[in-house]
Amino acid sequence: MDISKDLIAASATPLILSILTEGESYGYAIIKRVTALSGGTLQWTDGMLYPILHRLESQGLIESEVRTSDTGRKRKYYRIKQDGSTAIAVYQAQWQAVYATLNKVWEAKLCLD
Amino acid sequence: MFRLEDAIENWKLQLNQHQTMTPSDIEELQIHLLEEIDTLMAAGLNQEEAFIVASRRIGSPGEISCEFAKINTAAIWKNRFFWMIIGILMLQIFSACGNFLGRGGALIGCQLVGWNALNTGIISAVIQIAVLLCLLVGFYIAAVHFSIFRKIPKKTLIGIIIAVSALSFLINHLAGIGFNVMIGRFYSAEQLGQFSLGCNYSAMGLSVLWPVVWLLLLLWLLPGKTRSA
Repeated sequence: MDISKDLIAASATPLILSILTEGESYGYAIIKRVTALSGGTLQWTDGMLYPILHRLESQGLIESEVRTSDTGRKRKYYRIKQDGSTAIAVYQAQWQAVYATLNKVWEAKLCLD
Repeated sequence: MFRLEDAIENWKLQLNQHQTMTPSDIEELQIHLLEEIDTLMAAGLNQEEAFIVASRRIGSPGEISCEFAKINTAAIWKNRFFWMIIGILMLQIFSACGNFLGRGGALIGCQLVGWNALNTGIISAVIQIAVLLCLLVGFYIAAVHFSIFRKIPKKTLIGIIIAVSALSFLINHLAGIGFNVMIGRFYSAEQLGQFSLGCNYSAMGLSVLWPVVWLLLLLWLLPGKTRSA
């Protein structure tokens, strides 16, 4: 099952913020985490992640730091900030509202069937 | 023979072509690409295969640049503004050169050949325009075909251009005073009138020519042909 581009784009921000609550991370690892969490159903175009990260950073929801990893490679690590955690709560409420609404319709339809 | 370094350089050039990404954006994507290549090679792919798959997963340069264009608007406009300023200063330098060579060349040349003041006026204006056009075309060729501006660091470039611009402005004005003295000393009142008549005849023609030249330039540079940011 492929998830539509629009839905991927809409869910990207809450997903990235939520992954960052698990601890600081960098672009490549975030992509891997999304694939693992979704069981491969959320297929991101990897390059699209970075503009979103940069936007979140300029909005003050996350912060970044360039460090050299154990393998000697330079990496930009992203960390969630207080405003980011607050934003997640809002996203959660929104997504749950959408999910609950859809579910109500689907359940009603099931009863009719 | 596939060389990973060359392939990556080429890939970075493609990303850079759209000029919507900063050097650090490109560096971050490059690190991502290298990590993916490492993972794929550990899974048994060769370098070339790993590069192809990894660059595909990152997305097409056009697609990615489009996304970056949405967030990098300030940087993009700063970059555009920089080149506009360079263009304005270059035009000023070229006009100063044209003015200097046109007036000086015609006055001295026609004096040597013995042409009258009316012709001197006309030739002076024609030389001015010819020099300006030649420099503009030369500038275009140097910038586009030899990409000289990409090779010079921005700070050095703006330093050189400001210095040359100031110098050409100064020389042109000082020389202008010299030329006026020359005209005053060598020309009688009637010749002076003839000279200025010649200049004005040319100016009439040029006032028609210039708008046409700019209009053609504008049509040629019309967006749509270039990228849409």
